[in-house]
Amino acid sequence: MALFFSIKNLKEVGERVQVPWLMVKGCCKIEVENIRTATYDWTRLGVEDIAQHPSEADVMIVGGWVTSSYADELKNVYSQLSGMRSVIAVGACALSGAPYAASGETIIKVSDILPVDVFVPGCPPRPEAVLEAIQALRLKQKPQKDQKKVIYEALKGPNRN
Amino acid sequence: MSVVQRPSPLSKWYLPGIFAGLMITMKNLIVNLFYRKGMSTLNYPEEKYEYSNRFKGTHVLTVKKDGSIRCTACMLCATNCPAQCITIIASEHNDPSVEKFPIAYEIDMLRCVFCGFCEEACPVDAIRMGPEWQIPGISGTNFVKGIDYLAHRPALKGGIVSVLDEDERHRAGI
Repeated sequence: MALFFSIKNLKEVGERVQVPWLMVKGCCKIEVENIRTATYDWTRLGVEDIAQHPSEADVMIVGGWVTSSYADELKNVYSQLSGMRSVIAVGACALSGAPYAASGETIIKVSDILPVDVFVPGCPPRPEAVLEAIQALRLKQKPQKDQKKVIYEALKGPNRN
Repeated sequence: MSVVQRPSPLSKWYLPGIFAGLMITMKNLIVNLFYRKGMSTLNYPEEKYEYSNRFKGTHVLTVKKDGSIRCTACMLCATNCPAQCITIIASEHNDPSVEKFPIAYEIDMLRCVFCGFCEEACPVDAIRMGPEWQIPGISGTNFVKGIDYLAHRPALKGGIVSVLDEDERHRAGI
């Protein structure tokens, strides 16, 4: 009987679990939702299933075009994220608004509204590219040794000699 | 006399449909447990998806046989681009047989929609859409790629030679 997953995957999964919240619309939605299926499984990489409410999530994936009214909604959802809030921006529409730059409606770049951590170019990007972005995010968010020390000192409390 | 086919009473039962669905689930379970090659998951970093020849990936600027860039800075690709992501600065060349060449050719990867119009518009096969998909980057990386990346990145192994030869071009009068 074959093993269920390799030892490499076990180490990755054990490190950190991320809970995502998807705010992707349009053509990018089809490609990003592909990574939840069995073909490009994202549970192999330690991403839990999608959160029930944004306040349980710590990664937000944004895709699709952004107009001014949608921008208010995005900022609202971003303010409800918890933990290390990170944003992954997917697709040419979110990154620069280029496909709809000639339209009358103002198309906004996501990096103008939210602090984006990883940019994924493409129209739409391949699902493997979004998996690589999730891995890049995990490498970026690895806490450094100094950070751990700061948290420990804070936990000890004030006025310690 | 008309013959009307009505659905048979057996097809209105729930149980045969449920049983068929359960059989599909059982088949997937047994294949995934005992015959791992039949599993549909692509283990991405270890296995890669095979793309066709016509896949529209990151652009490749071709070179001539002597290694210099093939592009003649005619601006047809920049004009045809629907996202207006190509910026070209043309200049004269020291060699009199080369009329015009680009000293700066930049593509903004965040604006590009990878449509392939630049490849269709180019008359001398100077730009092609390559087989690699776009690599994501953390914030702070530069996504405006110049000639170093487009023509001479390590994955291209020294530059892809263009299909159109210089002598043929002169004889054809282009």
